[in-house]
Amino acid sequence: MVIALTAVLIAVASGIYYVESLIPFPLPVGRWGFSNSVVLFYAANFPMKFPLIVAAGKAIIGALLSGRIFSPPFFMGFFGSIAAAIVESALFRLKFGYTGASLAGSAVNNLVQMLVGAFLIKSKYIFSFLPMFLIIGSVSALANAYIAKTFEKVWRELQ
Amino acid sequence: MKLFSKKDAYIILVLFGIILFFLLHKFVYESKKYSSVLEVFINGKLIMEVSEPGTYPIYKDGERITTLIFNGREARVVNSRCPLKICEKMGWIKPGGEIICVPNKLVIKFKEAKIDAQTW
Repeated sequence: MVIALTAVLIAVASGIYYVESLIPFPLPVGRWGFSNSVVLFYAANFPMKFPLIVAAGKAIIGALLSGRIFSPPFFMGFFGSIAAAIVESALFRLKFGYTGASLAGSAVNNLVQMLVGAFLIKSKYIFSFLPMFLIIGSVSALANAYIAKTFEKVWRELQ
Repeated sequence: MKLFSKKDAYIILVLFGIILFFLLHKFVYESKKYSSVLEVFINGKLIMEVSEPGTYPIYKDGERITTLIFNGREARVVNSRCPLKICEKMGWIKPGGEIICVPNKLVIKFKEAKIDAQTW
């Protein structure tokens, strides 16, 4: 059951990941990150390995769909998603709510992406994007918290 | 799981502090004095300095990856060979700004001015 749900959620998250690249973003670089709502829902309701699988799966399939697999932005997104899934799972175990876990996950995601980017281009100047990413990421993190909570309600009703 | 737990307030406070720190850092960084010389780095190595207005092709491993346009005060890149052309979308940069192209590992920024003397 969980394996089937994981497969469905990877497909849903990958679809959102691809479609959201078509939504205008206020910065020349970046995306809204609404696909993280799926990982957030999974982190709140299942053991840590499952949100990790969804995070890795949506990063890989989303990159395959957009033709960015194994490019530097792929590695930034991949490690950012994995780090966010770990932090979100840990915070849910510590009884934080969706809002806190989503905000922390978004901040860690952006921070890790910048660290990987700085490592890849061997320059610290990529961090100049970080303040705006943290601010915009917080807005989408609040939306993700609400979406993930809605997923949870639907999931409970289906059960 | 709750949508909002009281503990979440700590995360909001910490996040607010982090954003404030990075905004302050960016403000201090951008308020430094800059020369009108551009530095071009690829893979962390300085490959070119540009001080005169003009159009400069930038090469990596013998292939042109983008073209730098410098008008003496601002700079931008055009005709980049990266897939998403994010570096082009950054538009014109002023002193204190940077153009970053992750796929090409390229950074273009204004050189910090050397301070020869201080008045105190």
